[in-house]
Parts: sequence; C-alpha cells; structure tokens
Amino acid sequence: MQLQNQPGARPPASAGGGDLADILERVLDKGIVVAGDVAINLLDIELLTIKLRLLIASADTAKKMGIDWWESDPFLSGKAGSELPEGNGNGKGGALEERLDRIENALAQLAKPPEER
Amino acid sequence: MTPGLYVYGIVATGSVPGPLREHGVGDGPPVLFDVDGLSAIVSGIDVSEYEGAALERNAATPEWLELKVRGHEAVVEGVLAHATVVPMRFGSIFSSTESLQKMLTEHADALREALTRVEARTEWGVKVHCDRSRLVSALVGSSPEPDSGRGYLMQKKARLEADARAAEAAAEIAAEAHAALAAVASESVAAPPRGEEILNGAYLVDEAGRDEFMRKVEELQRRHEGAFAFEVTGPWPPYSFTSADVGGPRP
Repeated sequence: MQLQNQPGARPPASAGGGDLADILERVLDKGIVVAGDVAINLLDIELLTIKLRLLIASADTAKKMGIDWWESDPFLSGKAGSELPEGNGNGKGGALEERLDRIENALAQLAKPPEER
Repeated sequence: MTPGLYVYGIVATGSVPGPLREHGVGDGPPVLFDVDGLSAIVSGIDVSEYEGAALERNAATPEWLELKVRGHEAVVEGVLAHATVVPMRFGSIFSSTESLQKMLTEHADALREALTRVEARTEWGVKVHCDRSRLVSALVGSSPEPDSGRGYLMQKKARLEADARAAEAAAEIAAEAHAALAAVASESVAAPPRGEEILNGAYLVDEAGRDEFMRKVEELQRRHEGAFAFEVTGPWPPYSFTSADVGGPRP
C-alpha cells in the first residue's frame, strides 16, 4: 500500500481519473438512489465490484505474500482459458492446496498462545 | 437496441454554464433534461448493454465496469466544477422521458432539499493508514540491544504487550482524528475501515472552510507522524451525504 507521508489532495481537475477504488466506493455505494424504472441487475454488478475491490485492496498486501492469483484468474484478467501459473507439474489444484496448507499452518501458529510457539 | 436514459445527477436548472463536454457512459456528451427548476444530467444509452446475457458478459469484464464507472464520475465531476450537483448512484436508468419526468416531479422536494444542503460544499475523503509494526515499536519505546537471554525475553514480552495495546491506541487516534475533522466540516460520516486503514471518513466541507480543513489534516498528520499516514482525496461530489433513498425500492 502506498502511504503518503504528507497529506495531499487529488487535483480537482481529475474528472474521473482518480484512484479506481475510491471512485467505486462512492459511485456504487453512495449517491442518491432514485430508482429508475429500468431494472438493471445490480447483483451482477455487485459481484464484479466485490471482486474488483478485493483485487484493488489486496493487490499490494497479497503481492508481498507471494499470492498472485488475480493475475491468473480468468474472471479478473479477462483472459479465460489462459495458461495456469506455477504448474509445478501438479496443476493449479495441487499448487493451491499447498498454499492453503502453508496458510493454515501459519494461522495455527498465530492462534497459539505465545509461550507455546 | 433498447433506448434508455442514464442519469448521472441532478442540478438546479440554469446552474450549469455552457454545454457538457465529458462523454460519460453514452456515445456523446450528456444533456440536461429540465422539469420545474430541476435538471437531470442525462445520456441516451442502449439499455440492452445493462440487461440479461449482455450484462453477464460485461460483468465478466472489469474493464467495462471501470470504463462506465469512470465515465459516470467524469460527468459528475465536470459539473461539480461549476455547479452544485446531487450525484446519482451508478446505474440509474429510465426507459423514457415520461418516466424521468415523473421521477423528477414526485421527488422534487427531496431533491431540492438535497441541493440546498450540499450547496457551496464539497466532499473530502480522509483515510488514515496505520503501520502497525511502527506503532508497536513506538509503544515499546527505544531500548538498548539486549545483552543477555533474560534481556531478550523481557524485550520480547514488552513487544507482545505493546502489540496488544496497539489496536486500542490506533482506535483512539482514529476517533480523535474523526472528531477533529468533523468539527471543521458541516457533516461527516465514517465508513468501515478496510485493510490497514484505521479511519475511512468523508467530510462535507464549505468551500470557504476548505483551507481550515486542510490545515487540520496537516496538523493531525504532524502530530501522528511515523506510524500513521493521512491520505486526502477530493473534492468529490457529495456522494456520501446524498445517500438517501428517495425513490422506490431498487430491484
């Protein structure tokens, strides 16, 4: 995450050019709701938004941890059917399982009281 | 192709000088649709892009949503530069000028009230990020390199205790910052913080009070230098202060 040491404002003339996460947060969740009579399926939009937000919010943190699933997720990369990453000869399922094991072990360690670690 | 009207926001009729330039979500710049002193900022769109299988396809394309959301925001910000605007939520679409006219007439009072409330004010976002390990170090204080096993254990214990206090300390600073900023704003709201944020606040600030607000942010940043980073965004259209649902339930 990019931390600013000095407070600084986005230039007023950005006109939609600001940080996407900030824009999504406002444009999709806030603003006046005067129901139009055309029912757009907001559920689809919301699902996509959740994924986009996760992507934006976690990208830096996740990268630090070596998790790069979004770059290979066809939903997010828009490249359905692209090659799977880190084949390691055992395919995506195996790699994911390994990763999950590592994360679970790490969590189990953290959950223990300090003296047992 | 099913024609529809995409509405970005509402202004008082005559408050926007000249034609709009940003293209928004449609093919050309939006136009103003006037009813009884209120004007809706409107683009003609193809509704079929927002429905059924086409929407499913579009929803699987983050670029599509980004383009539309940025288009929406660009139009509202373009208007904000000259006029008071009540921004609509993304995806407010009407099937005909009749239905748009009906909405503007039915909700005229609520829309006028909202316009008055946000007049000559803009929204500013302030997020405070916390670097937890720096905060813990600050709480532990400076101590010499341990020269014995016992010293090492003592230091480790102090760090664990500081770690337990860190969340509380961060929450106190978030509450203090929010209160200080709310005091120089006409309205304020704090959304749930995400990730390393400890504060995700929105402040409705008088144009005349903008400098005072910025000085307050800078003062808070100086006071909490080190573990905390203050990030300001704005000026935003007053999305966070016009969230009321003045229409019927949304599908």
